Amino acid sequence: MSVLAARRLDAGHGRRVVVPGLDLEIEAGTVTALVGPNGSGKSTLLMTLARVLRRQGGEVLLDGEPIDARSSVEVARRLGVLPQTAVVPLGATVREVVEQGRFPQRGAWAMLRRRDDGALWRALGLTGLTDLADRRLDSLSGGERQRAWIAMTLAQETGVLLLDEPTTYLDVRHQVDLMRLVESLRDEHGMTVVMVLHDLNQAARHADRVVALRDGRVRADGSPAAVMTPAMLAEVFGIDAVVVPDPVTGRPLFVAR
Amino acid sequence: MTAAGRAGLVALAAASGVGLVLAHLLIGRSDLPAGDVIDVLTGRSGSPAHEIIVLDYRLPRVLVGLGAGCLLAVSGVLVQAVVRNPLAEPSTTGVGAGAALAVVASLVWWPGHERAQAAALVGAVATGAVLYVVGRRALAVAGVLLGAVLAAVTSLLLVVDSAPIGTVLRWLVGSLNARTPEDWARLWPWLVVLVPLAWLLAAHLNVWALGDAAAVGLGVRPGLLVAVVLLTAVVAAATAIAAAGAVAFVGLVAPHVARMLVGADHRVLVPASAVLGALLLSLADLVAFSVSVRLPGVATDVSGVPVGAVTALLGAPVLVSLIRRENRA
Amino acid sequence: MIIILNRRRWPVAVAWTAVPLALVLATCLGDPVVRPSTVAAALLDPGHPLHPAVREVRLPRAVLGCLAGAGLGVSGLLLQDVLRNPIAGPELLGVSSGAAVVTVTIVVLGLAVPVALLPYAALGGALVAGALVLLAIGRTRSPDHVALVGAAVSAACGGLVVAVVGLGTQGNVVVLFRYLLGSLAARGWTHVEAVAPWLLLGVLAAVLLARRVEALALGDDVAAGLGVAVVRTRLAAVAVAAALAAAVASVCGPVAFVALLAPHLARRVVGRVGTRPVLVAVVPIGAALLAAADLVSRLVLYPVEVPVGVATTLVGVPALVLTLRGRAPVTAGRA
Repeated sequence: MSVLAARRLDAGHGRRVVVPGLDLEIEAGTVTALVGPNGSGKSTLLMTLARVLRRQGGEVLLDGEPIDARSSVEVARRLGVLPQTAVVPLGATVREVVEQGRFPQRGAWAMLRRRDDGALWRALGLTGLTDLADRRLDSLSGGERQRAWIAMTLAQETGVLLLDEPTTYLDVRHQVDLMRLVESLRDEHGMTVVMVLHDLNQAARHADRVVALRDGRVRADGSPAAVMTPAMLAEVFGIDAVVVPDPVTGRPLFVAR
Repeated sequence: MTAAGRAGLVALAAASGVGLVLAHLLIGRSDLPAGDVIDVLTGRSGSPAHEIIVLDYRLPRVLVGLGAGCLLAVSGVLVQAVVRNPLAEPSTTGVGAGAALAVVASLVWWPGHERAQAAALVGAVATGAVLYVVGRRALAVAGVLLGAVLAAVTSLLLVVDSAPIGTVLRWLVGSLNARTPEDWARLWPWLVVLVPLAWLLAAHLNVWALGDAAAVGLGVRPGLLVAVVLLTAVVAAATAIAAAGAVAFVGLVAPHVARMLVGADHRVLVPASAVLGALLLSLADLVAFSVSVRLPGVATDVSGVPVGAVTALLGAPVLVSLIRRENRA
Repeated sequence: MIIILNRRRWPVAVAWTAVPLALVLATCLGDPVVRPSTVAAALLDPGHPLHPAVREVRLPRAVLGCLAGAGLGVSGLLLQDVLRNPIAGPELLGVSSGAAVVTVTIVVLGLAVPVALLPYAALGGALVAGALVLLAIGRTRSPDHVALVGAAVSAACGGLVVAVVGLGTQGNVVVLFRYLLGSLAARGWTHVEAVAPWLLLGVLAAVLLARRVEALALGDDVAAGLGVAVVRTRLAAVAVAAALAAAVASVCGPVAFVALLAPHLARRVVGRVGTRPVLVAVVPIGAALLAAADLVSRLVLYPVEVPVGVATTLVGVPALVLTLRGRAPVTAGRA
């Protein structure tokens, strides 16, 4: 059974439908990358799956049942979201922000008391932020902030993670670290990850499945090897490229001509 | 913030509170020797006149000042959390203007102190409701524009009937002159309900501070949360305005200072703002009635400046500091 | 100027004809109503029974309304373009209320300042308030933030004005309530003479700045790339806008929402958004808008006169909301 599924889903902003009538099944314990050119609807789709954007038609199923059947907090215990548009609260420290990830698990009343729990420090450790815990978030670099947001999502300790462009602002080393982290979350904790990525080679290297969107429709869907073809690159991205095996993993690697 | 630091702050706040209450009771606007005041407080005074001055004039004034300041600050911190901007407060979001309009309307058509208080409550809550419905996408802009319209309507009423203008000015700027024990009796039940309620919302506010998308991802329902927080904020502002008039800037300054002292975590920020707001308004009132100004062209000294004028004066420098802080961030 | 008007020339021409129309109407209507045919006689013949009413009361008031409206419109246009913010305007940026504080203080305390010097004093207040707001806005382009900063500064100034008014005597208070709102009542040629040079110079300065302001609207980096001194242009434009608003506020009080609304209407009329083409239309539109609003506020509750600031707010805010509706609430994103 799929963990997360879209049935004839219409997603968009306001009255404008960006992604019409989409069907998608996400299998448990897999890493899926959504790719596509700007405006293809990949982030809109992800945020609609995450119930951050209100869907305009169709259904989203979480563990086989409609996502609305559970309360929003119950959904948040099962499904974590990393949005692109998080706001840095004035004067808040890294620890205070990451601690908010505990809100769904601990509950609003318990959150009224200060408590350091293991999940908070695990999340800070996984993102390399332990030493920065008491620094003000607004004094940190873009990459450190992005890691704090990832840590907040990890602190939620959900089985499913939806990440919208998680590598934004990260330097190369932290991008590699993050992708390794995603793989280890899948391998060691059996987590399901769906992420929007801009870097196709990153998607091909680290995802089990690549879904390519253009104009709100799925144009290619499958293993990286099946999806990353010159034909797909030409159709979806309009680029003329060759695909060669990546010398380290043997996954497909594209080079523009 | 360390535990010792926090204990120090609490002790400091408590000491200032006691000090302010004593100062209010001892100074007052009528001449009464401190010894007589102490006699009244210790139950040894035989003079009913002294008892009336201390217990019916001075005590309600200081209590209403503390309570209204507390509610204004709570209202400010809640509205700031909703719109995620430290500059929001009752006077900048139209709620104060709504209360003032209702008060002016009631003074024009059904004069009476109690009615004016009820009207302030109705006006502020109605404005808050309109704001919630109209301003879903841009709450702050909507509040500012709504405030301008309401102020214009208020002026229109005053142009048509300028008889109550003196009373109205006191409401518009905020004053704690001539508060009665009944005023306090009408105020304290709201304090008991609203301040704990605001604190209970703190965990939600912390999540909301991260932005709409992150908050939804963490399981907050935006429509419900905004409605509850806004309603609490508006009722708090309304009850404060009913008791003290539309005092500006307490809702801005108290949370700002609190943020500098204890940080952004609403679990601490809400109670800290409440305490600071109470102290601030009471202190401003002490300044207001102790100051007398000699004006050119006016024969006698002008005293009994409305407390709102003092907070407006205090507000300006704090505004500057707030602004500079934000630009550095 | 004509070269700029290569498109949609006739709506601008219509806008310009609205100004004399408003002047004539404002001179004719009232108690008593003067027929247009007798206006000329009443104006020119000192012996005419209506001469004082027309020549010394209605005409200067109408002229002042036009001048002030044009000045406000230009002020709003400069601020909106230079800050790239659709809700920038002297009334929401605290500039008007800064000027009001100074004016009210002078009048209530009976300080011996001649009418001709009032604009200078008001300008001081306007510049302080404007500088405060500009500092506060910093680099953000979020309308929310701008609105709140302006509201906070306005609230501070409003508190001061009310406090100062509260110190005055009852008679003063009623008169001053009108200063607080903006009014053209009982203004004569001395007032016109006091502000006319300011407004003319201000508009001239705006014309000279227009090309650079237009470049700023494309973004600081682009403007710098085009060879525009970004900081200097922004400061100059804001100073000119503040001077215009202060001159108006010093004699009419803070008349709200003309400066905010006129540029939006002008953009609609011209069908373009560039500073230069809009400037040509915003002058007559601002002038006609304020003159018409004053006429309405004089007549609507006759014999009671509504301060024109009340009328412009009550009409201006809904009109502004209608104009801005359909556009994204945040037209210019955060920097």
